[in-house]
Amino acid sequence: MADRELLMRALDTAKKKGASYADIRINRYLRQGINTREKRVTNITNAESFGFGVRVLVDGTWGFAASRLVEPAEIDRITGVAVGIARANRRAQTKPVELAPVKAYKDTWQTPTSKDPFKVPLERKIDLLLAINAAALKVKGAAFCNSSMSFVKEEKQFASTEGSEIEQTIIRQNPSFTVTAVDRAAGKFKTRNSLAEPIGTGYEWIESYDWMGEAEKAAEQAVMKLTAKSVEPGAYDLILAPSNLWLTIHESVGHPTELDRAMGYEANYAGTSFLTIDKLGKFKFGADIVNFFADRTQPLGLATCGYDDDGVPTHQWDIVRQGVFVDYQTTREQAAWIGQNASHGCSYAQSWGSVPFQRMPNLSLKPGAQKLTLAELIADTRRGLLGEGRSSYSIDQQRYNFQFSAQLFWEIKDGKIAGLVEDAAYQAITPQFWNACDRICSEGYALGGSFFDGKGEPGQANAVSHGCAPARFRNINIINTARQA
Amino acid sequence: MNLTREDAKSIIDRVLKLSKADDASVSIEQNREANLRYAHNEVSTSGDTSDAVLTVRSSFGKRSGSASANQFDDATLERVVRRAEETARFAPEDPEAMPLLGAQEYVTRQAYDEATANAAPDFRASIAANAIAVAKKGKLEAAGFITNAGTTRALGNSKGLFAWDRTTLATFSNTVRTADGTGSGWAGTNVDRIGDLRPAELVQTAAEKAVRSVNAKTLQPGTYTVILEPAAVADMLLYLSFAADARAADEGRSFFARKGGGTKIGEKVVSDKVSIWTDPADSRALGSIYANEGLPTRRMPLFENGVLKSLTYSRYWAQKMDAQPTPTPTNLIMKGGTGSLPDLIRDTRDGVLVTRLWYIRFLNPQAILLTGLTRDGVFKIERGRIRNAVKNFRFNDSPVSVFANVDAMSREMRTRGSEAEDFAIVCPAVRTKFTFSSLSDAV
Repeated sequence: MADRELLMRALDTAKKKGASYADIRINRYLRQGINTREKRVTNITNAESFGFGVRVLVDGTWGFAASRLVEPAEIDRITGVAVGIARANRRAQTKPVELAPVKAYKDTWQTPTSKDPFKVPLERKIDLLLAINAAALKVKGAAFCNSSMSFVKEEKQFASTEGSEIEQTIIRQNPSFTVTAVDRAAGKFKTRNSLAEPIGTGYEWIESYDWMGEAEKAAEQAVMKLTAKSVEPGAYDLILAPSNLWLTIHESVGHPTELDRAMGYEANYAGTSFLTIDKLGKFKFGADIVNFFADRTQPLGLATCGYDDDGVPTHQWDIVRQGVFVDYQTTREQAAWIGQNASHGCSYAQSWGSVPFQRMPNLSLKPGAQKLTLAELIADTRRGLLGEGRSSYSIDQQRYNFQFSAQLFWEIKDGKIAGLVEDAAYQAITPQFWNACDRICSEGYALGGSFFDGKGEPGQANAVSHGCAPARFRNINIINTARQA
Repeated sequence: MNLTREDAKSIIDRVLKLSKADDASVSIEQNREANLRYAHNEVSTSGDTSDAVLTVRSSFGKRSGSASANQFDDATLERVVRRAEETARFAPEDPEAMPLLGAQEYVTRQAYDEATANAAPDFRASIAANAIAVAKKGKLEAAGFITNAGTTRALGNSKGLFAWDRTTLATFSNTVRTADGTGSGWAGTNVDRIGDLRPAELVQTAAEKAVRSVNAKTLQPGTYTVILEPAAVADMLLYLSFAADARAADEGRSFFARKGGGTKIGEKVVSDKVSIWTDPADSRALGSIYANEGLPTRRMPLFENGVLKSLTYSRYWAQKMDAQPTPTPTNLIMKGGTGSLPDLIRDTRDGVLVTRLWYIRFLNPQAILLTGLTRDGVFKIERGRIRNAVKNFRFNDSPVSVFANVDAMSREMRTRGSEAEDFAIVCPAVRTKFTFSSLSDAV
């Protein structure tokens, strides 16, 4: 960890130059990536990145600058650049930035884990990946298998003029594979991605997962997809497993409840939101059984940490309660925009060189209150589809119209799985979809997540998890995507 | 501090001296980017970030590994070299490993512009202030993003290869929305020299589109004659180029795979009006002079009069298939027609004008079938004039079909797509057939 004097030097310099608020983050990032295909390793990368970023408020206007050279003279220079930017930008600002109050914290936090993935020998990780490929390729008809693991460790030091000094070590990992089955005579191929999810913990989780079982099953299913019948388009009752539903939650609930989007701050890039602030506390987002909560303290969550990049302690809160939209995701700057006096702790920057802004917390669907398993839900469905695994996804810039596919769509006829279908995608309008939710299982709650949720300009990646149990949606429009160009 | 050619050479030589591997290559990318965002008629975030990343790739026979860091002190460089070597020792033999390239000849062109690399905060703030003033005057809401950056890249290896390239890039894009949120317009581009940026014109275009896009009528989904503006064509070009890998085609997992084996090189796959190439020295959109492993980039036709001329061959795959290695394109140029976009609209009896596309994803990689949405201005054209705004659509269509059905084009111009903001593209607006699959109420 860097010298405390450097942290204080930036804060003192900023104050002397006229900043009413300043923070500095001195961060180190370790990243490792291993990629394989079939019997060989295609790429191994090890990256470390170290540097600092200084953020200042001068007369209510933000300035930010960052450098990889963590030394006193550069800290002085960069703090001056940040103040200079704030002063230049004042001319284009009419409303000064106001930060919601936060206590001063002197604390340390780290991702609970028993096995730091950066201490696990490379050989062991490679052996596992090649074993996954071999298990998949044993299945007749499986032609290719790519597999990968990536690991991130963030060592972060934060200090602000509010008096906080916080050190955090955050670990995340992303194991994955894809099996491809090819029918050369017909000129066709199908893929099946692993259903394992990225997760915010250590290597012990990877060691406990049944990779060989899943690799074999994935290969069998990739081959089955080659001859699966094409879906008959129309209205179906759609059951989504957590491995698919998490991404639908992310796109259709996570993004529209970001307050900066709702206010127009992402209009030039990611877009705005149909959940404008006049809908807060009133809008019937989903059926009565639909409850969403945000939680950056959730165990194993990718967005889980002790404090956000504003120095605000993390916590849990409701986003949708009994179907009604009740709250947004916020940072210190945003809380006052909706009359709140405390931040929900959603500030995050992807690196020392990026400016912190509002990013999505772990955001999850509460399991159903009445006992219900996936098997019971299938038995209760006459004409339906069961979707597993994330696949193609696309949603508009206000988060209304979405179209999602799945790794696997199983046809359900009269309460029984009748076989795989191909070329299906579900297309819906967000509030209609969530109001069509009639059953949520009480069993089978699981986390899914993304390592690379993009937002902002310049674009920044955020890692975030979403938990849910299987749920059913009535009369959803299923389209057939197979059309030869 | 910019790394000169000599600085870069000296650091790379220092690292190569530390190497105990059979072979090593070292790359450096130094970048300083300054930016400003505004939205909701206020500045929001901005910044100025300097970084430099050094990556070492070490090989023992057919085993290799890499490591990178952004500190250049002796201790860090030593650690990075040892880590790369340790990784290489653990890595299994790669049967596809290729020997390092020796010294190469690279295209020379002037791609660095001091004014672009060092534009002051005031320059960016004045663009934002003017855009906000225009918006407020029209009772509109402005959001936009301005960047200027200078990048130095260098690559050297133990076989005597050394490449060095210095480029600059400035970007400006802006979205203007009506205060009630029922209209939205966009305009943007990237340029190699900041003096070529015309922010006031881009603000005007976005504002006019915002005002014009209110009271959008519902047009039923279906296949229409559509004019895709250059920003929308840019995304179609990007996705077409993403799919143009020779190995995937030879392995039967690509649109460019010929039934029964082999690739479609030499076959006519799109309209004979369509010619697309890459050329790092095209002054309208400079590309990098070298690509993966230091392979020199050159002018290379991708499609000529509708015929597929080349796919991307890695060095390994080229050797295996007895072909020339071809680097991934670092810019894309598509030949246009002679008229302007307004000329193209005037020449259209019944059609739909699309400003840009958004959130594009593969639906079916085999057909390069994509899904995505229209955004920031869709208009009905009747008898050569814009008749009214129409609601946004989701589309399910393919660049192959878009370029197969081209029947008219405007002149080509510098533009950027939604999916790769910094990638240099020159292309026309095209008139083609395009399939809208459902309606979107999003504005």
